[in-house]
Amino acid sequence: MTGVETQNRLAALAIWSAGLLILGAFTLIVGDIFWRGFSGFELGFLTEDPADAGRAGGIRSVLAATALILLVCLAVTLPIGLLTGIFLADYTAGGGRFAPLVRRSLDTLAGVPSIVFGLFGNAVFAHLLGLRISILTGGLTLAIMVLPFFIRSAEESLRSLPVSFSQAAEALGLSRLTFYGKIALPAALPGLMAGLVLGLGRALAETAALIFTSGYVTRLPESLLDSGRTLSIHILDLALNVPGGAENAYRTALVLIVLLFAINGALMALTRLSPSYREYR
Amino acid sequence: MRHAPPAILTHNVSVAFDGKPAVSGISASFPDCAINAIVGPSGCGKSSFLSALNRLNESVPGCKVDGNIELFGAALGRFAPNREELRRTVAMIFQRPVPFPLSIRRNMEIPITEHYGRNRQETAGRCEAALKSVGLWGEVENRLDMPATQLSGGQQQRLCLARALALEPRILLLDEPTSALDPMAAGLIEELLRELKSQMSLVLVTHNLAQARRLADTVTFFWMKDGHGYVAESGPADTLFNTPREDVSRAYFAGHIG
Repeated sequence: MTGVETQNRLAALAIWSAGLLILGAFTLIVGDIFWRGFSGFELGFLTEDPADAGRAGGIRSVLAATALILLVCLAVTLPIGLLTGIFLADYTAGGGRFAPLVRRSLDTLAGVPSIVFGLFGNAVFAHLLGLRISILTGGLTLAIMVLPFFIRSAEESLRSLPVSFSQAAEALGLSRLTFYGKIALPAALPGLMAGLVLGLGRALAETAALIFTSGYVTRLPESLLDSGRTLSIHILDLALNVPGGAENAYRTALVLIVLLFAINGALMALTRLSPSYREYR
Repeated sequence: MRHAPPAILTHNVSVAFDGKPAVSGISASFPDCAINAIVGPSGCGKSSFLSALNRLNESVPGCKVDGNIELFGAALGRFAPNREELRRTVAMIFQRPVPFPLSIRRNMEIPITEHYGRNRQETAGRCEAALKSVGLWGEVENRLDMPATQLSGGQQQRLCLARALALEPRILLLDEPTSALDPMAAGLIEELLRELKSQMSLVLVTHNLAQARRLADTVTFFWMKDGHGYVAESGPADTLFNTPREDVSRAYFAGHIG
């Protein structure tokens, strides 16, 4: 064997091992959660409220609070995120010197630790705006956390469209609203969905920003101004503060992971349904 | 016809990018119901001039257009009160066909409903008539919901033509519309342009002198001087091709330069 061949083989071995290591870690984590989470899992876990600090009962109220917080987060993130993404990506919008400033702010926000967002949400939404510790406060705080990621990915996916689309739309006398609503956003859908999946994943995983904003009571929320506990916080609490809560912590983790997979799959399926996806690939 | 104003009359038009002129001092006249070819080497600002005619380059950052443009005897601003109206009446076809990544039907419907409102029947009628006028109807009639990007290059360009024609333009600007197509597809487009000139004024930018010879009624010849384009000679196609006045035109049309 020549020296070059040996080097190539070693390099290939190193690259393959690194890939296998990642795959192994993923399998180990997910496998462990599935293994432990499934043992003694009953459907009642999803339809009963927690009892005995979460050691017994299920996670119905936690699921409800999680869903509501995500909805608030989405309702704020989608419109603001799309509009800002368009503002940053559109060369005719005349962002000028303002656009780089927005971009810089977003990049800075993306690097801020989530606990800081939690304190901010607590100070501004909960106290200054009087929304108290509530699902609304938690959702808004998550939205601010998720927005930088979503906006940048929206900008990127809009920018990746050929400029000729925009030119052709202008040449046909289409308004910018028509162009984005009917042509650009549908064409950019795969990228937008990928950004949304990442953002929702972050939101679902969040604990630090929510403890001060949406709270941690296990009661079933009756309005957006009630406080509530998300799946992640439930896991944190069971694992940290409740002796004997490990089993239900694992079951909750299982639900969380399945939920993540489901959201991921649903958004990807939605993307594939759109004609632009098939044509644009 | 002698007293009818030309479809397009420009006086001293210049287009500059970031203060650097691409073309300047363009005074030209393009009659209605004719194919008006703009020829010349690449980089002499033919396309920049063309986009000035429906203000398509005004959204390009740093681009500035000066001079007077009249359409059918009216100043540009008076001819079309707003940009949408201007783009509808002065259509533009690009070098590469640009179908939107949507179905054939949506490609046709979006511009039609934008300009004529939502009326299912009228939209379908306009869509069919325009596709027929470019000879595409028979080929796509049964698969209007197919992605437009799956059409061949020539079909895509005809779709783009149909999309523009559905808006009943009075002037059609064409920026090397066949240079990205194979000879057969290009021949079909040329055929269409010949038919269209009974209804409107066509301005055709082309690198292809043979194409200009086949199609043009008038020729405007652009050349470079001091780093920007200018009109070296213009007039009826016969005159320019057979007895050009200027040395540079003679050399260019004989194939010695450019």
